[in-house]
Amino acid sequence: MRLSRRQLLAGGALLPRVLRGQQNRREEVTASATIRARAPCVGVVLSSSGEGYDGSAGALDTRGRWRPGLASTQPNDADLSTEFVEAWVRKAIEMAGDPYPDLFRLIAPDDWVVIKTDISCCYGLGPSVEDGGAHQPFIPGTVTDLRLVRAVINYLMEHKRGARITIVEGSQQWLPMDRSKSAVDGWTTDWGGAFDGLSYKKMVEDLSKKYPEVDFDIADLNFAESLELPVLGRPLGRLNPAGRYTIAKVIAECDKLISIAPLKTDARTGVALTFSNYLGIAPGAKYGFPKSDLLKLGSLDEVMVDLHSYHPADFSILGGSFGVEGDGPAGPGATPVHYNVLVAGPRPASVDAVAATLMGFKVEQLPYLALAENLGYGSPRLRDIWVRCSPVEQAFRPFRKPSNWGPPAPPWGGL
Amino acid sequence: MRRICRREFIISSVQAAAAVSLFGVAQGKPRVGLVQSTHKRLTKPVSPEHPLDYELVRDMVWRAIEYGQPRAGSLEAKIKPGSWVVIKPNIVFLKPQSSYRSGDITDQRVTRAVLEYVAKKSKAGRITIAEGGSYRSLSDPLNDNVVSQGGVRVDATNYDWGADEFPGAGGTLEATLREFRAAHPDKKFDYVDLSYDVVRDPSGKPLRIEVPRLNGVAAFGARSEYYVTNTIRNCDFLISVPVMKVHENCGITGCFKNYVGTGPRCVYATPGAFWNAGLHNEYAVDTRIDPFIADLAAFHPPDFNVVDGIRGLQYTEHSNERPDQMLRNNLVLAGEDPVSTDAVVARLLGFNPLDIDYLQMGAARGLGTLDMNQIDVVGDELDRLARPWIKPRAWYARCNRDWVVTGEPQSDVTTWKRHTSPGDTLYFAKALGSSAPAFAAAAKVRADGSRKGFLWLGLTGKVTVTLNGANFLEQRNTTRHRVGQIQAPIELRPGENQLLFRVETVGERPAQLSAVLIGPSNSGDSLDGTRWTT
Repeated sequence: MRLSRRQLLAGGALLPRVLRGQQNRREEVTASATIRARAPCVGVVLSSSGEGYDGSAGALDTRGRWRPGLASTQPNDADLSTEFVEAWVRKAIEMAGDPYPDLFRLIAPDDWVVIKTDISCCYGLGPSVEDGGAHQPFIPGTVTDLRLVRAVINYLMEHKRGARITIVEGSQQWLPMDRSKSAVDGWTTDWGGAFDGLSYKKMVEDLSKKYPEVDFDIADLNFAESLELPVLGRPLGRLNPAGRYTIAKVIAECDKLISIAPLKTDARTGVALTFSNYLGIAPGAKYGFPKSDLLKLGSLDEVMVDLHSYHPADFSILGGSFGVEGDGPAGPGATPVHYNVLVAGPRPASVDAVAATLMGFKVEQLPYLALAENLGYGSPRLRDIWVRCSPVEQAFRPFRKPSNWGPPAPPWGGL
Repeated sequence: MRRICRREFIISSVQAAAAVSLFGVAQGKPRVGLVQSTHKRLTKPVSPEHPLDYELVRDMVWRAIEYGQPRAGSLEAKIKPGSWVVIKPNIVFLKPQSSYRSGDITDQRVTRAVLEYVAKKSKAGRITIAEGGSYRSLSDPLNDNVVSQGGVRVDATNYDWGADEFPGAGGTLEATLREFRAAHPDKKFDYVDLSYDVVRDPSGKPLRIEVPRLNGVAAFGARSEYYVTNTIRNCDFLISVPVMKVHENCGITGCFKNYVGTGPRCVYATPGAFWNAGLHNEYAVDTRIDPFIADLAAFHPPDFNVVDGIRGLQYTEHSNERPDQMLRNNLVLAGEDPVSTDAVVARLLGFNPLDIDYLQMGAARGLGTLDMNQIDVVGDELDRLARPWIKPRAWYARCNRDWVVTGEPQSDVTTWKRHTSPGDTLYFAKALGSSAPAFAAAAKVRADGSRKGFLWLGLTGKVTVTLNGANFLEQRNTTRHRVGQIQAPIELRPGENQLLFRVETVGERPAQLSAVLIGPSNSGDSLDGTRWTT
């Protein structure tokens, strides 16, 4: 029998799994609905991840079926259309959905879903505005691509998931308009047209019209109602023995939380990814602008994992069209990287580990990943993770590291 | 009368004190034997971290059975000659299944030690090990949810545990039974897979049976008739042998929770998924599984219990792959009273027994004592061995059930109707038999002293809460009703506190309310020193 090229490649992709299976021949389990595979699944989808003609994009699922990459592709540094972004996000979600349930199966129709976006800076604000915010200039890659947020919401709506969708952020860099002297804030800026001219305010207005049966709103976590709560389980912040933080109530009360953030380097922690995104849930009204009072409670690595514990990400999406490298996570030290990649999955530490690896970092040099693993937020070891669609080697694109950042010295409970 | 000398008096006093501390004074109190591997009366005490071997485990189990002796005087005295004894361990998963990890199921050495005790010391005629796990039996023609080992299909009977999982008692269950048959030819030994042992009517159709009314208490589940198994119903003597660990839904796994394995999967499983989904779907109340746990136990309450506390799981009841999930404590418990035994399990795991809904239900049925002051723990010291196991994120204590409610919130509270919710949630329209645009509910909380904690609510509608006449909280929710969605810090004054909830209907969904007071750690445990009343 002659094999087609695709069959041959699919078989090649199967081979490592078959070999792994042979190693475990003595104890094997027939695939079943009640028996989940152990490997956390992370989807990595480049804009160039096609249907698998080159043998590198797409994935076999747990039942041995081929799930192809994108039907149409774009170069990894192309400007992407709205339609492309919608398909791209769905593909990343699909690739992350097996063996774990697809994202929509994690969410009930009457759930309150919070989308934690990253709006660390605001387009249109100059450093001279004295409104209390520590303004940094906007550069592409420092904030979440708004089209990703819209695509995730459209995906949820198509599957009739979520009765209330709240987009949240608590930036260290800008204040909401009603508290500042500025004519713009992170919710109202159109980013100079960078994201199809979208602003969050306009997005919510449009979505409310399109899906009138669902409540859409925005919550600025710096000033939204907050409460002081103990961290569940074991607090990490070494300077916070009581293990209590003040967090926005919406984070405690929502049913599901989806984190969406760009790939960024960070001069303090190496990378700023899902866990760093949780610094936004601590209100600036309590911890200051920037939120330097958080550092009185422990190292940044400890604090961001503690904050994540209040409502671990049910799903995490990283990337977009731009990230930043160098002395991030914001300007002026950071510089944009135009690289179309999405990394997605339900295990945040695994998602961050894959993203950090393709950015050129070694996971063992990122202390927060070991802390997160110990708290059960996923394995950061690549050998334990099932990366699907594009392999890490193919998606590998080293980001310039922060100039003064180096792997921290032990002991920090490394991997 | 013979006079005793000073030395004799001192010796006899010390002996009496020792006897009192070991066996308890009040014979009426239920006894729970608690033995750690460090226990001084064991033949060879070892550390709590010791991996143990079969001889050590048997010594612990037998000592715990001795300490937890039933009212009949001993376990063997309670088992009538010629009777059919069923030993029910928890073997929900086999090792190759990905949700399994050490501490998930009953230690095979504990099961074997109970088997050996009954075989050697009692006059039982038949001894059966019975379980229904989440894997199909060898005789099941379907091939989903099957486990294989070395290319051979296996189930609980022929799965070979090897030498390492339970040191000193590896191998297969069928080999163990063969060994006992050879050693005790006067007794019959067998295994029953409860997944397939459903009671059928004369036509062969599975039969649902009404929950027995014990102590005047009927079914707690959403429906009152259950599929049950012949073995559990018909055996003469049932020994529940669970592993102790936490559980996402009901808090702890112990003697009662072990009954989920008695629900026959052949009728409760859904296609392609061999677990008791039907029990959850048909019988849970307000998402809690406690009602069907308590109901299944009513069909044949345990005659004795031996709990494996050697290893257990924190965070959740099956593997979550966290490196610190499994805890080794090297404990064994035993007792006649399942409520008391589980209450001790709860305390060992850092739970308040009163928070466990199925224990309240078991006590209401007259199956045992939940008051820790009325339980004699014999052997090792409970307070020394109790430790705060990390609780599941979703855990919350039993919510308040007793309310006074009205559809006219402006009316005098003394005119409001008394209502007891069957579950955690108060459905206003159901409670009053009519709908209204706004409702109100009130309850009192007695606090032993000034108490700080959290008020957790589940809400559908818009609520205004007053505490002792002062506005406390206003909140609105139109999304999923979830206990603990709303968490508000609360401070109660000593004595009586009144909580009043005015709930308005918002949109189409009927008004609902759940309320529970949670302790300062906010981990889902109830606030110590408080009691709800009406």
